[in-house]
Amino acid sequence: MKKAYFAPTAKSWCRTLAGTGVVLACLAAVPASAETVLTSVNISDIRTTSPLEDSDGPTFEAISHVLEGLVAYDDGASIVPMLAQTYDVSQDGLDYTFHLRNGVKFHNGATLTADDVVFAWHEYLGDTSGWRCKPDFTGKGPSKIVSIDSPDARTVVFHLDKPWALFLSTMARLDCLQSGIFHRDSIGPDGKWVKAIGTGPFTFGDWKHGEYLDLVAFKDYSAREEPKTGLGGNKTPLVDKVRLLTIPDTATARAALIKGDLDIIPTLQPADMKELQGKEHVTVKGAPGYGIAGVLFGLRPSPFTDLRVRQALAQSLDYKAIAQVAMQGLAPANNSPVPTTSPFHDDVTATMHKTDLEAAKKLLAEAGYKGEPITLTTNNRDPFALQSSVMIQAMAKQVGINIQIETLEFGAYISRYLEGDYQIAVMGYGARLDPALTMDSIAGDRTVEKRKPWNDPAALDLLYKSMQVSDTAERQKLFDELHRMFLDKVPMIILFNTATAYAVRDDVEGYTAWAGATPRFWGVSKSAAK
Amino acid sequence: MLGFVMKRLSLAIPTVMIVVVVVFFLVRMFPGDPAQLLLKDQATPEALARLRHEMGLDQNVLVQFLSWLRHAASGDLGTSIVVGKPALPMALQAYGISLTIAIPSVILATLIAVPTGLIAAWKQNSLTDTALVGVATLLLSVPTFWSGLLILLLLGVTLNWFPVVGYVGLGEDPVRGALYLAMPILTLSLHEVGSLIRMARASSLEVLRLDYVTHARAKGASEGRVLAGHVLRNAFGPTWTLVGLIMGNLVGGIAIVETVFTIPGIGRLIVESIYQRDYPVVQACLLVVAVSYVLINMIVDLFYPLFDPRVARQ
Repeated sequence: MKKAYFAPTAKSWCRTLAGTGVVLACLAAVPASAETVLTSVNISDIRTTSPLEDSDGPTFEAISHVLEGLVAYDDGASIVPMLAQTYDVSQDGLDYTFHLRNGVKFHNGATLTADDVVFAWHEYLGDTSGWRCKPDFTGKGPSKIVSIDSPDARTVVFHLDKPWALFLSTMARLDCLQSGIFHRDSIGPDGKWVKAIGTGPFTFGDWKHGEYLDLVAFKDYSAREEPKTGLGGNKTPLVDKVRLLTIPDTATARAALIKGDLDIIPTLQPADMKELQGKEHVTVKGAPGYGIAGVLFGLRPSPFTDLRVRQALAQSLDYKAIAQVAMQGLAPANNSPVPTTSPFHDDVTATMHKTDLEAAKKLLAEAGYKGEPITLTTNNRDPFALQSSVMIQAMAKQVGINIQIETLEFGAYISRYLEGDYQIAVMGYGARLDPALTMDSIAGDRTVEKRKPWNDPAALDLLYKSMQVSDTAERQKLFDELHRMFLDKVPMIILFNTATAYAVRDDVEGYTAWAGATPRFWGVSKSAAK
Repeated sequence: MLGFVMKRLSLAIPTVMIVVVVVFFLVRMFPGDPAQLLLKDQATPEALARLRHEMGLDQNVLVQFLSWLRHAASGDLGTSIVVGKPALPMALQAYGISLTIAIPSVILATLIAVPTGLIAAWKQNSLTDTALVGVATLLLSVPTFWSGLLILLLLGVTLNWFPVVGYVGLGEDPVRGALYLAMPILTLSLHEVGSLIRMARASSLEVLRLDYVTHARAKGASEGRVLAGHVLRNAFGPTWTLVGLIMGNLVGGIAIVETVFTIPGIGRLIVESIYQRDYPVVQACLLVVAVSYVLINMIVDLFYPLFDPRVARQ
């Protein structure tokens, strides 16, 4: 039979493909820009540029580069002054006086004054504010702000109704956007948010929904003299622009980093570290953080209403093995709500459940548990949650606890978590930089807050005290006692502290992780040669 | 022609209305709401209640639906709960981006698949046929998330021909825009080539057995002329229908490819909006996809007489 006259040959295909490749490679050689641009990644878009609306992690992280508060957390999770030069607390713990730094400039060139601080705080606490932390300062917490004065241009005084040890810590909280101060021109005459005019090292640049957000260096940034620490210290920007690309797929982000299209992946799943380790021009690092992951006991009927069954589960687990697998050795096992990185983590809070399979079997027999199936609810978004769940299932089986895993989409999972609608669940909590805040996320009246598994009035009293007392030694005693109660009653089993892993290209200098687990692009430079 | 178009459009209206109603109530049946997802482990009852009120989620679902329907009638499909922007422009913009991938992918796939399917049919039961059918089955079987990542690693990372992340619109910079679109287009084309080859081969086989093909050969026409002049045109009808269906599926269903290649198209927007329970955006996107599906298939039908004159006569 004759050969079809239009049939392409293998040779012609190769020639065409090679030719196309050469042409495209030439086209890809776009001239380099003179400005230094650092590219990083967000797994999802930011929601807003306004601190007066409730928001999420990527938004907090972006706004933390634009706005600064009176105080900030440092690397050791202690409070340091930021826009304040110094601050004083009155003897009775009711008045906090902040002395502002001199000559701090807003992005619009205006100089920071005490009136600006009062203005921003009135907006935060005002009727129309959707600021997440407004309830903490208006009576939901142990204390509330009664008034804010500005006796002179550089002094601001906050008056509280009751002493509150966590006043500064709450002010500096990441999800409170560090109570960042914004200029009055951030809000238009109609009362609507226009743009974030702060004092931070960057301003918001281009924002293309679903594509990228630019943070542009603020050239007149008024830096502190102390070295960079946490969200405080010297925050001078060393690049012209930071481009935060929205890349939902982590595999794509890793490929882009290897190629050099990305400079930094600030939050890398520990499970993904191995793929990047050893790659040319890529450095992977990690550090333990303040987040916790643990097993929660839910409100659905289950054998875990019996303390002995909870204790048996706690004694059946090999915590070091779970932490090693889930966190790739970056964070140690920990059973305490006091994170291992906290200054309050001492010998008492370092004590853990003893792994004892025989004792666990005995407890189960006493409780009359005969292998009834128990559903462990987990989610498919956090790799560590799924890995921990599988290990818990296998370890519990050794003592006769029959666990079946139910994996949910994250939205469905959060809904069930908030309602306590599960038998047991594995849950990860974000970083809270004071042990009282960590405990507050898991302890409460479960008839009101079903998400909180630690429903013990005695523990709640101690926790409340720890939020009022300022003396460090006294707080340590309270945390030690709370830790003992937590291990005895097993209202929840904390497995480990979560770790922050990140990866950077070799031409990036100065990027480090910190306890708050948020990216920090100030003090980070990028050399011209790649 | 106009009558045909009007008839098809009038038939599409109930379809679109059903989609609207089903989508509205279905997305609200998912467990979890935007307020819960936003607050996560910091969701106090007060914060949840406040946020649900701000988002209008504390109203009865039926009241929400009637309110949405009233606004939709005037072209307002609501505002994104997540980013606070109007949902319809968001959906249309993302849809336009998806079209810039879907249209070239379908054209490229068709240009490759139709002649290949024809050759496979012409060489039926030969080694060439087996090889082409094998390749088609392989391409069809490989999921796009995997082939996409392989293409990204090969052409983007190893050969460094194309940018791996980011997106530039064709209107903004046509050359750079094309570079960003090349890999997703190639990924989708390869996947669709598989099904189109099989369809083109099957319909070509049927035509090759018909009397008029035998007659043309008996008259001494060359094989090239028989295939190009007699078989191709008549065999293309069923493939063209499949092209229409693929096109309709692609514009709403390329979320995986858009995610792998960071393209802000409508597929990715739908998936992210579902994860975030951004109801207005999900509704707007699905409405746009449903309407476009109807329109694309209508356009395909309008072109059908070009390949099969019998349809025009009917």
